[in-house]
Amino acid sequence: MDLTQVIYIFVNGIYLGSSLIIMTSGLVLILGVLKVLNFAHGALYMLGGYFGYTWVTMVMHGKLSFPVAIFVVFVAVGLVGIVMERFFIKRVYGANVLYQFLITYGFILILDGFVKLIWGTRFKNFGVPEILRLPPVTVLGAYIPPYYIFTIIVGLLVGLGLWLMTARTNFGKLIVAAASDSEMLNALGKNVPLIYTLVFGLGSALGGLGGIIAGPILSIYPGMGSSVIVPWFVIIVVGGVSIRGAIGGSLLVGMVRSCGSLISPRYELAFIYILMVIVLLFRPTGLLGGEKVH
Amino acid sequence: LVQKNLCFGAIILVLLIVPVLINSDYFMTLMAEILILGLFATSLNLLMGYTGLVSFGHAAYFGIGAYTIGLILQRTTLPFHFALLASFIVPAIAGLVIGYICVKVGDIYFAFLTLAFGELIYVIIVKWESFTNGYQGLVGGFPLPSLIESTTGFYIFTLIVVSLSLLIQLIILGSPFGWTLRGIRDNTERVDFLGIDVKFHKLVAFIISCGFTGLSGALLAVFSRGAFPDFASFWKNGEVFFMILVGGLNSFVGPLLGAAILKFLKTYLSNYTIFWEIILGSILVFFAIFFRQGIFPSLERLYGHLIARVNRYSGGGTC
Repeated sequence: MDLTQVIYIFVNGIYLGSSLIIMTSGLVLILGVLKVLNFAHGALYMLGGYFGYTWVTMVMHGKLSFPVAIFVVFVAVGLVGIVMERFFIKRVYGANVLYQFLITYGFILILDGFVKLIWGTRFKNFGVPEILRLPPVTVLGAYIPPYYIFTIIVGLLVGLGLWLMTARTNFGKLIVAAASDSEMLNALGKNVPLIYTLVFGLGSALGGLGGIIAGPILSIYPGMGSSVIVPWFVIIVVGGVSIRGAIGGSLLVGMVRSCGSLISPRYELAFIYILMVIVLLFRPTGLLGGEKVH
Repeated sequence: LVQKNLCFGAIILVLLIVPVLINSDYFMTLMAEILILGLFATSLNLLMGYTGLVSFGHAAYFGIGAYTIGLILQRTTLPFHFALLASFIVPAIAGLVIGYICVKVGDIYFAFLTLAFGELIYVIIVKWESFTNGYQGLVGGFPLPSLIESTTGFYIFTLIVVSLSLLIQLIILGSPFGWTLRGIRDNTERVDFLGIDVKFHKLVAFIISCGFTGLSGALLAVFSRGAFPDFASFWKNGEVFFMILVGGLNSFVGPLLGAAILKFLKTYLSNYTIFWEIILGSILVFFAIFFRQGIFPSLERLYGHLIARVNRYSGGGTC
């Protein structure tokens, strides 16, 4: 194994990990604060992909199309999340995880159904955006696609942004407080239901962001959310329910998959489930702590 | 419990003979599938509803059962009844090994751990192509005994296997062992203080559940003349959650009812409207918010009210 190969595996691992940070941080945020395991997070991710596809191919063309699309998708999917939470999800807070499964599974079907109605069942692809069609970067003989670098930057920005938000801003501190003791926060006169709605909206928006960032590389199709959600749970378990858990878990899982694909491309996914079993047995709260899942 | 459910069972059994009498292939196919999925649902409910353990990876044992019978029938000359028996035993052994690890951890981690093992098995089924034929599944049909080749034959065979399995499950649930499981569900600590080995009981319940789940998988494999990776996927498990929760988590008949409802909804909605997914999803959301106990317990209560009212009017107060 030469150096070039090592760089490929390393960069690929970081790339996979960064895209996972974008996709899973919203899921973890919602689980940590609202104690809801949102199975429909994958469906919101799918929605992000489709909104982005429509924006890039129909609404706006040119160099600025993709950057604007990212912003539009973030807001639009966030709004979908806010509607979901306000009218439906808030009614299963504190309920058995099975009912959370039932309601979010219902949303998977509903969103899949709408996507099929509006966009049809065919696979869609919108290709690498114009602004990022640059020559590959060469690092010690290894060619790295610019889109990988872009994804890594976005992933790190999302991670950094969430970390700064919880550590430095007022809203972030309210979120942390709501996660650990929402009753006390309520007693202090803060509007807890509003915080919950905003957190769900932010989490959904991040899921949508994951969708549009993945769109140019992967195909988008109805039901794409269901195929990714289960591997995302591995990250929750491995990292633990916290922002740093989501970041660390994503990077670790990305790296394990990248190395796994070298050892045995066929059983690449099997490695992360074995990792999940090991973590659950020896450190059930996740490698990077966070509190217990309820 | 056994007697009450036997009464129900007898009525349902009589109803189930009807398709044979009117000799309608369409209804027999429909009912056979409902019975098979119903057995899957009651087997998982043994764990969820009665022991209080949520398994997110149960479809794996369904898949193992299906592949066991399929591989034995396709690759060996062993007789059918041996293959059917093996499709109970092999998933049960898998359940023994995996369950032994899973019962060590607390409830929510139990759910995640079963999910991890379930997905592991799914990946193996999809990727071990030389053994399982990968994504395509075991296709090409199985050599079957002539008795169950016909639709009627298979329907009666399914009816017998499912009824016997349900009867065995009922007997288990009515036994002291079954009541201990409910005790674990309602108050694990107290059962533990009584000196009862909680982990051992959980493990045995898990093994029994896996065995029957595998058996139902084998029936579906025979029904669809093939075994497919989809049988073992997480979303198969999700459909069964639907059946259990819509039918009624804390009842024995509920999941069967749920299986029937899901099958009917899927068949009729997808025949008549392109909005079927949206409608089905809305029904789920409705149930999760407003109707958590499920249909069957509500029916039972309604029945209880009616009986009470009839008794009041007729002056009899024997209930």
